Amino acid sequence: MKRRFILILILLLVSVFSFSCKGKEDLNVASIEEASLELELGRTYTVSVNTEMMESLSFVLSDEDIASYEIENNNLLVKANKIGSAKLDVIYKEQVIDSVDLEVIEEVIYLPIPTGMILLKGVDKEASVKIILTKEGLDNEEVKWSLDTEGIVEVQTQGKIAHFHSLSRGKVEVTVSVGNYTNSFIVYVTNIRGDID
Amino acid sequence: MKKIRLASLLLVFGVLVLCLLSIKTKAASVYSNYLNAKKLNSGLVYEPTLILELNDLDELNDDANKCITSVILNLDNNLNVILGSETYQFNTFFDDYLKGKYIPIVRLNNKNVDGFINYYKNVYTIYDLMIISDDLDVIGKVYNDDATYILNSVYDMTSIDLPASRFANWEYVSGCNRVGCNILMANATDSNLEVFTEYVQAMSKVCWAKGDSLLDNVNTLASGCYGAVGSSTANLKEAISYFERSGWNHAQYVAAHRGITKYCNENSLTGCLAAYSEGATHIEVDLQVLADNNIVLCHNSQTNFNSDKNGWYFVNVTLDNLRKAKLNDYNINYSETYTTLEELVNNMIKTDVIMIIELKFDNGSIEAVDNLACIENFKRIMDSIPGAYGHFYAITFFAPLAEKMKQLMPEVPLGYIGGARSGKETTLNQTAWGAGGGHKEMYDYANKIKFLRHYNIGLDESYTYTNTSGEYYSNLTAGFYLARGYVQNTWTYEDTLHFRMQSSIATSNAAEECAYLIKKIDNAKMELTKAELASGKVNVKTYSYNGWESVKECDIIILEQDEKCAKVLLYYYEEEGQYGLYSNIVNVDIK
Repeated sequence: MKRRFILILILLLVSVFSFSCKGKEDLNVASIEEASLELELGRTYTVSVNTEMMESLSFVLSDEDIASYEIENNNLLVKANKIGSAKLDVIYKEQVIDSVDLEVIEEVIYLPIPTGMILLKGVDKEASVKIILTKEGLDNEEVKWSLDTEGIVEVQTQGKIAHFHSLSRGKVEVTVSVGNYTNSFIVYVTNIRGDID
Repeated sequence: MKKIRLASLLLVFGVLVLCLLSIKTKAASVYSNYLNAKKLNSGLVYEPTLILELNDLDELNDDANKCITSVILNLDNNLNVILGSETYQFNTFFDDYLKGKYIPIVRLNNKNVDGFINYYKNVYTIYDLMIISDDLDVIGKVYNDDATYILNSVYDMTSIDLPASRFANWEYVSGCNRVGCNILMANATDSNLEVFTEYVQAMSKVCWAKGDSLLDNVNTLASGCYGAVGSSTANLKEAISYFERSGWNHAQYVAAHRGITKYCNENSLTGCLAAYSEGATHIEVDLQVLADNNIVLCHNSQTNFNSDKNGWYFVNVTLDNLRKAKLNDYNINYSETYTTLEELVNNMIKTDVIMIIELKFDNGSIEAVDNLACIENFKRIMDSIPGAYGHFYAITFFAPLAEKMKQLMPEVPLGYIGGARSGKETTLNQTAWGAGGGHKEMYDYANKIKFLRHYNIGLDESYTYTNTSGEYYSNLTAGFYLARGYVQNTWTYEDTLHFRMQSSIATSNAAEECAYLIKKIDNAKMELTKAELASGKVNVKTYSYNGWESVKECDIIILEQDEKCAKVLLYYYEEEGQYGLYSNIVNVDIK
């Protein structure tokens, strides 16, 4: 009797262990590299899913107004439809195995200097900056440019374009605004070797 | 009796066999000469080609001063030349009227194309012959044949309404490239001709436009087309005569070589976006493939020359590791690392700038081409970015990369920039571009055309050296290639000399110097008094390469005039850079 009880106990333990292992295996079926993603309104993104079993996965969005998804050639494509947040769960055998937080934001106005600065080596050098208006309806808005420091660069502006001419060593922050959007970058006028003081 | 009958039968049989053999062994006549394009003695730096659509033999007699380079012939289904109510056998017509004088361009359709291919192979082989069709499948058929693939072609789009949106024209560029066609011919009266021409030629293809009237032909040239097609020799000659002043009938394209490098690191996202700021029409960037199949921008196969990391080969490093490197060839203080292809494309497709993507990929080594599947990964990345196609074309020095492009991305125009030996060819002890018969110099016209056709590539190279008469070499060869659909593009200029060179897309290390040069003269309708019109000068709004607006004095060239209105061209000239530019046709109301 005692022996039979031990045998049943062992079988029970083995089955519980194997079940828990199976659950862990399922969790490893797929994962999304990013924990959260910032999406620009109106754009479609390819979300990288590490899996070899894409066809066995399904996806659930916590808010289907904020974003939508589709599978194309084994890629997960997510489209940002409305500003706000949503969660995208990856489902395998009715179990949530991973998820990613989606944050849909306004389309970004890109300034053409992504590092946020221009380095002009020495005086009497020139550079132009033209902002890229990616949002419809901004074409007729006035573009305003301003400098926080005088005497470092001379600037001429016309709409989306600003032309800089370096006058003396130093640093100047340039702010540009279009409608409700504002962005800024820095123009450094350095010594000939290009060091920033 | 029986013997006589048998002998007669044998004799007849023998004669039949001989006849058959003689037919089978009869070789096609071959004419292998290539003609140069006619010089027009206009003021245009990059002179266009004038093409006559022949409906009347007298039009050839009008070409006494030889300005017509090519002649379009309409063929019936039996390949006879149709001229009004008359028909002529093609071979005798060619020999009598065109041989040694004009490039024949034969019009094909799905009914006569098979007969044409057979005729070309077995009856009359003319190397310097072109075809025209409004059916890309017909052109594809000619291109797929082992004998006729060397023929250059024109896609007749005159019955198609051109789209108003610039990038919508990618459909036509890609369709043409897929079948191996380099010339797109539109209707000269189409209101979107200028948009079409600007885009198609920015993608390294050639635009022609067809129209019958004098104004149609002027509009073709003023819209920037590299070929004007008409049915009147007199009109074509008069149209080009309005362009006697020196300059451009369209803004020359300016490509920032590796982005702006005067104040940015080369092949960086900053430099590429600065190129947009400075008004470059194109950027030229180089690609390398990484050990994890990512693709980044860099000219060399190692990190040595433009970052703070020494001795890292791109094919051995993953993106995560590469991101530790800081670009330093202009200034390390930008704190930027290597740009991925995705980052570049996602930013540049928001602009009108066309990317010229040079496929370096470890100089075409076996590791890059085969093991890391660089072209497959290039395609994978471009496929994953919505809207990427149409914003780039590719160039290369290396045959293995060109072969893969033809196989995997046939719709993307690919330019040949020279005959370097790839790493793969070196490892396998092969000569450069071995399969295609080898790299040919630009003056070896016949073999160069054959070579370019073999790989389905366009001509992207040009030279700046001069001959003994002091003429720029590029300016001697440009017309020949242009007439057949190949533009001379790449040379890396250090200044603005390219405005005097026959480069369609001038690659420059000084693109920012062009930012405030005039790129377009406003052609909105204007109101002038008779006296103002007669003065020959007018102040008009202009736009520079980077979009800066300014009012400049332009010359007025009157095309036609009555009491109430006139049609004119405007011409701007800048003495300092010896730079001239024509407007499109401007309508004038006379006060």
